[in-house]
Amino acid sequence: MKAVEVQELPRVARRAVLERRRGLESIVEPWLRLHSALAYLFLYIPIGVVIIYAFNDSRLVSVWGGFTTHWFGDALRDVTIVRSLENSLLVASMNALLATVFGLGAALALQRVGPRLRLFFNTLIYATLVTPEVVVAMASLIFFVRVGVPLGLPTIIATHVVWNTSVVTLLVRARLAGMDRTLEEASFDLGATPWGTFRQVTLPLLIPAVVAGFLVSITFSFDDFLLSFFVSGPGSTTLPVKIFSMLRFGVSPITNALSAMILAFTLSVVFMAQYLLRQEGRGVRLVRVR
Amino acid sequence: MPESWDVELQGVTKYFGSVVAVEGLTLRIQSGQFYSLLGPSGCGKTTTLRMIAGFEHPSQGIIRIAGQDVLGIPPYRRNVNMVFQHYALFPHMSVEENVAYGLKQKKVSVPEIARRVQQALAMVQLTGLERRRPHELSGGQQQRVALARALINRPTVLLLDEPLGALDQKLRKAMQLELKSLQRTVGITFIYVTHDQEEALTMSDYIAVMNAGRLEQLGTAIEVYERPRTRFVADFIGLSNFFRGEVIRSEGGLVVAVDRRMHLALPPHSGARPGQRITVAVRPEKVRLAPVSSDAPSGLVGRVASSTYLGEQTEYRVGVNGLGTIIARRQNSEIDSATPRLAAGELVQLSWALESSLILPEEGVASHEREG
Ligand SMILES: Nc1ncnc2c1ncn2[C@@H]1O[C@H](COP(=O)(O)OP(=O)(O)OP(=O)(O)O)[C@@H](O)[C@H]1O
Ligand SMILES: [Mg+2]
Repeated sequence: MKAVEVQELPRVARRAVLERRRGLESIVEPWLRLHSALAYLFLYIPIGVVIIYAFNDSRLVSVWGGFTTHWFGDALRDVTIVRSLENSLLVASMNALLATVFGLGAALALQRVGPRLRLFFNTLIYATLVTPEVVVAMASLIFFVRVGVPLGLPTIIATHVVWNTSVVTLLVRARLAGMDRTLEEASFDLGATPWGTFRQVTLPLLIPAVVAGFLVSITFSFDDFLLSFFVSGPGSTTLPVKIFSMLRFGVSPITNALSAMILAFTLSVVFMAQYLLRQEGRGVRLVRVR
Repeated sequence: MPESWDVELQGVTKYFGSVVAVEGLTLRIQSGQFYSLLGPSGCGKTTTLRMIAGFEHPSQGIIRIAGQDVLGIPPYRRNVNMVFQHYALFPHMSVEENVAYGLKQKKVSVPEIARRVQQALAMVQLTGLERRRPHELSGGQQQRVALARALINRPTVLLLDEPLGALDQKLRKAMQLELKSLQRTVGITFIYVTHDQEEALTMSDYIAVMNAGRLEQLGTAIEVYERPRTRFVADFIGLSNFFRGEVIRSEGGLVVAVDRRMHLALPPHSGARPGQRITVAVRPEKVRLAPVSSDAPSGLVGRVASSTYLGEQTEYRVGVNGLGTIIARRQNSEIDSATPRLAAGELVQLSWALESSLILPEEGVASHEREG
């Protein structure tokens, strides 16, 4: 029933309608709550279990044998694990760096081109994001093999960068859209060159989006499995790929410990992003303009 | 003798696609003038300023600043500065950093910048607010920062795009006076864009009235108000009563026959020729109203349709048979027992001094098309 109709009913009738509506809500609402609670449990219980069992002092994954942290030590003493961790960190940081630079450049360029070219690139950007990851992974693998690029860390980084550049571009463009363009004109007017204007006005105002894009790229890359798995070569195993290969010998407390570490890393990056963006909102500068 | 102009526009035209924003504009702005561009919304004022600043390029015509053709010179190499309509202060910089921005680009030494920033802030009475961010300032204070930020560069010309548009009425009035005295002190040429005719009249040395991208009239405040040359100017600047008619000869000299019912005498030396169709404009404050005393009144007689109290003045709308409504304004200070306030429905006699009749050319066919 429309709100207007309720308004027009006499007061008593209106109250009856409202009460009936409230009655319906009181039946539906508990079910909705239960449903969301179950959904969250379904999502988070497995993660919780993995983390709890990372501290389990028993070789058997299913039996609780007391609290310990020695699986973390064991994991970090394994040279192949440490190597894959190093690979992951390298891939994540290179990817974030390149994707941020390319994404920022693309966003800035896209506001200067004509509507047709912009539509074309917009389509490409969204296409990248909605294409299933496994398709991108396959396509990249076939491409690298055909062109004859040896698979390794560079191919992993390249594949990640393609994906993340789209993400950064979208984030920066959203911020650009909300930016007052006369600020750049004011800067030109006061004698700043295009580069000076970019450095002193445009970039500082875009920084929140750029930092967010950088951090999102790191978290994406650090825990990405599919892309890395397809285009990795000998010696370029990343941590998620390493965990996957260990799982073939069964779930061990060490894989639990590694999963817990990945989660901790990703969460801390996300919190850092949140914190920095909130600070920026309060007027604290991430970069000093000097 | 050729004079040197600070800014000179020669036949400047600007198209945006098929829209003509500015058409054949020719202006010469002398050094040290307070020069206003006045016109209704969309008449091309901002576009003109942006072309002088270098943000837009004229489709045709020449712009010279201090005698130099500025075609192809980017905004950051032109010695002009602009105060934007919404100030465009850098939100991530303090007041001090905003004001210092221009000097920093010129690589002026740090102590020199500090000294001049202090000087500029003192000039606009903002000393003590150096560390504030723009969003921590009132509208009037932001406006002063924008002024200081532009003036500190000692430009040849300062361009102001409706700088007081965002302020309330009272602050506006105060800032008008301040701006004007500031301009006298610094002696920099101001090109001031406004659509507020009162603002232009009170502040300007010279006014260019624009309409639909074209220059309508150039002159001092007194000239454009007292001697408007077109109907548009007479209507846009102040209010006018218009009478259209044909010039004919009568025993007392030339008169205008308005609608064959009424003859309006023309001032001597009006330049009108018999047979010409012209428009006569009369300002409401020049129209005198007197209660009709005799039974057989002569001249222009009408009935007061309404009276509106405007504070200092009262506006009367007087219906005159065959002529429509004539608007008259009377100073309220003149009201006393001899000249009482008029009531609606009262019969009054209208008159005005001969020289209050402004003779305007009859708008041609082209202007009718424009209106329609
Ligand atoms: N970038 C643009 N693209 C297309 N048309 C434009 C552009 N800028 C201005 N115009 C058009 O040119 C004309 C003049 O615009 P301009 O902004 O100069 O007017 P204005 O006199 O400053 O008006 P206002 O008092 O409303 O600010 C308008 O018809 C406007 O629509
Ligand atoms: Mg404008």
